[in-house]
Amino acid sequence: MIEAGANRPFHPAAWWGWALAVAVVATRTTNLLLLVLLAMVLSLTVMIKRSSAPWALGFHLYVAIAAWVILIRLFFAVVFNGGAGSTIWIDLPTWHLPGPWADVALFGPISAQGVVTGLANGGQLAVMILAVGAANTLANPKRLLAAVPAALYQWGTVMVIALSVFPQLVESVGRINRARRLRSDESRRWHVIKEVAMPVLADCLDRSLALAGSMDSRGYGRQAGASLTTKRLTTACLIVAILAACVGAYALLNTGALSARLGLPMLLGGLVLAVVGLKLAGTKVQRSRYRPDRFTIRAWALLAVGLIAIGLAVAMSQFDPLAAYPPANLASLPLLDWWACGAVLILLSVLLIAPAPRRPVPLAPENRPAAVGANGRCSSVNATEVTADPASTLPATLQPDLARITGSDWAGVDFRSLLRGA
Amino acid sequence: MTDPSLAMPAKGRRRQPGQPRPTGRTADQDLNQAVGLGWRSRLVLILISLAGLAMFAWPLWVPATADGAGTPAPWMFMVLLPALIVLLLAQIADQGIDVKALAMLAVLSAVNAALRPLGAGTAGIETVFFLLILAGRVFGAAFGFLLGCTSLFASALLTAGVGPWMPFQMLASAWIGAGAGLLPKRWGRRPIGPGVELAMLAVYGVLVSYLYGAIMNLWFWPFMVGLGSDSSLAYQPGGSLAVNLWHFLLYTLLTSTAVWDSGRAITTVILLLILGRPVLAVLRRTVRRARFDPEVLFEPAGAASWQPARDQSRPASGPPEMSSRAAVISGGKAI
Repeated sequence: MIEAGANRPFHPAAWWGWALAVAVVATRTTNLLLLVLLAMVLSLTVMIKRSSAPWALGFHLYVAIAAWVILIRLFFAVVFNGGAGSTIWIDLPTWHLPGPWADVALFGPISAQGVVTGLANGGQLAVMILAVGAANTLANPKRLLAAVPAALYQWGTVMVIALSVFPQLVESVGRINRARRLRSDESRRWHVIKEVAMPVLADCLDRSLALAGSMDSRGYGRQAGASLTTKRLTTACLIVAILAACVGAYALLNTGALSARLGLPMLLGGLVLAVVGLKLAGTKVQRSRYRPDRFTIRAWALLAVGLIAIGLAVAMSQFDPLAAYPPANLASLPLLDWWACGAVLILLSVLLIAPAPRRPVPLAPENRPAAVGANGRCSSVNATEVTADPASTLPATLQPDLARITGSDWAGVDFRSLLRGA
Repeated sequence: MTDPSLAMPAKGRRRQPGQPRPTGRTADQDLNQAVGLGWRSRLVLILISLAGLAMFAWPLWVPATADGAGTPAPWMFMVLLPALIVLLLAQIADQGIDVKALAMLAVLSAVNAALRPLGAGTAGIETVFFLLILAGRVFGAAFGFLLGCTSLFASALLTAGVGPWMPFQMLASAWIGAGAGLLPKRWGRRPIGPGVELAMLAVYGVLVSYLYGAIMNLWFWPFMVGLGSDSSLAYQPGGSLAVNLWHFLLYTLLTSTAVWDSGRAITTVILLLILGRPVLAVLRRTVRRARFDPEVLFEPAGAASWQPARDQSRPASGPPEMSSRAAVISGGKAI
């Protein structure tokens, strides 16, 4: 946190914008080579730019899910006779299930076309999963919560409390277990539900009521006198936006001249109304921010990179469909045209734009927290990281109360000892 | 159940001043919904549920594109569904939510997020649903809906589960929580006893376990098998409803019903039967302590300001009907 002023991390939305742009590029092509390149761009960026925070350790999970999706696709192409085409690789006999399942044909000829199509469509989804994973790895999810629009402020608060209570559950279990040991009823294993689980749950709910009382008494949730007209206008905006978005989406999916003309304007109109509605709903939320993330020039540049890449991908699918959607066989390798090369290169420029990740100096082994690793779910690291940030989204007056009630020490004071003393 | 006041219908009756607040242990006394939605929020919720259902079922109705290439529908819905959920949450927040309900949502989401990794991925063991069902039952349908959204979101944040599937999971589990809140509280004029209630919840748990598996398969199935291949399980773009429905049923029966969905159903039922009664007791105790009452608004005659008064000293005769959060006392008739 010392070097924070010089090298502030990105606005998390910038990372999400860039990663979603990669996902959109992937939906515009079935070119296997391009898909592999996109996956490599994502992996490389994550490797170089991720920090050492717990949420940044989960990328391998997304890689596993993506690989699983592709494997399942190939499995279905082989086992359930989904790989039909003209170039037969292996001519397996077709076998039908008995009885009422006679419709289901197993195995059968495996063709190059079927396998390549499966790989390409699975690859599209895999790149999308990797893109979301990259965004989730590179952007601090809690900073993203802090940046939610004012209309969603309450839900951001819910998430912040939920993430702060999570480590406190562990503490609660420990405390109740200690009390059990003091009463020396460790022998009855089956009473663990009655003697640990239920007290922990009751403890949590009681603390939530105490927290609510504390928030209530400090005026949390006060609404700055929005008039009834504003409220009605907000609702009208939101409802019309929803209807317009649904009608627009339906029209876009129908292949007709009129619906094509109707679809995009409806979707865009719905988007505008939704933004207006969210703005209106946010007007009455009064909140103060502690060191808000700013959209720096670099963040804008990252978004611009994403938009340019999308533009190049759309141009490729328009002007060079053979490169964007190559014929499905393995006789010739799919080729990359200039559009695709440009998209990949411009996406790679993120390595120059994004700031260097913040990685703390490694601790000496004896000081290292015990449970690091394990998918980033570990308790000790999460406890410090989760409780470090959320304070920024709550009013300053609330922090001591929240800390006292959730048992964590945001303000630098060990409130747990106070609580124990009380 | 000899107290005649307990047999009164919950809605449309005013509790007389001086009459004691009912305290009991069965569903009959869950008079107060933790989150009361106004009709506007209900309208938005229903609209978005319908739209969401259509998006879940896109393989069954989206027509094929003219050039035979992959349809843009799934990609579009992956963007549209989270946007619609955001609008719904904004609308509900705009109408105002009790801070106690917010804190309760947060804490139960955290508990659910802590429960989820216990069984994630191993043979369909699913540890989320039982608390969702119980909370929806006790705190009401709207709370159940919101808890489904928030707990799936929180657990996705904690366990690296954010992905294109997350909005779909959120909506599906929101329906599960809401459905538990909509289950009947009384049979005819008689309140449902604790044993019958638990049995009802267990049956509901089995039902939603299979339905959840099926509906999560439904939108993802074309990605898994491939578009328009010759397989008898594959999605046929633009194919007839009957063909696609039949292929889907074969797919979901063969791939997930036996293992994943059954595992989920068994876990949910076991957890409901073992933990159901104590958890219900803890939740109901919290409801009684929280006293989710309508807020009383004092409003001078003629003025239309919207200033919720969140004072602790509530009059004893708030109307028990929770259709709106606020009981507006107008005309300067302060109590």
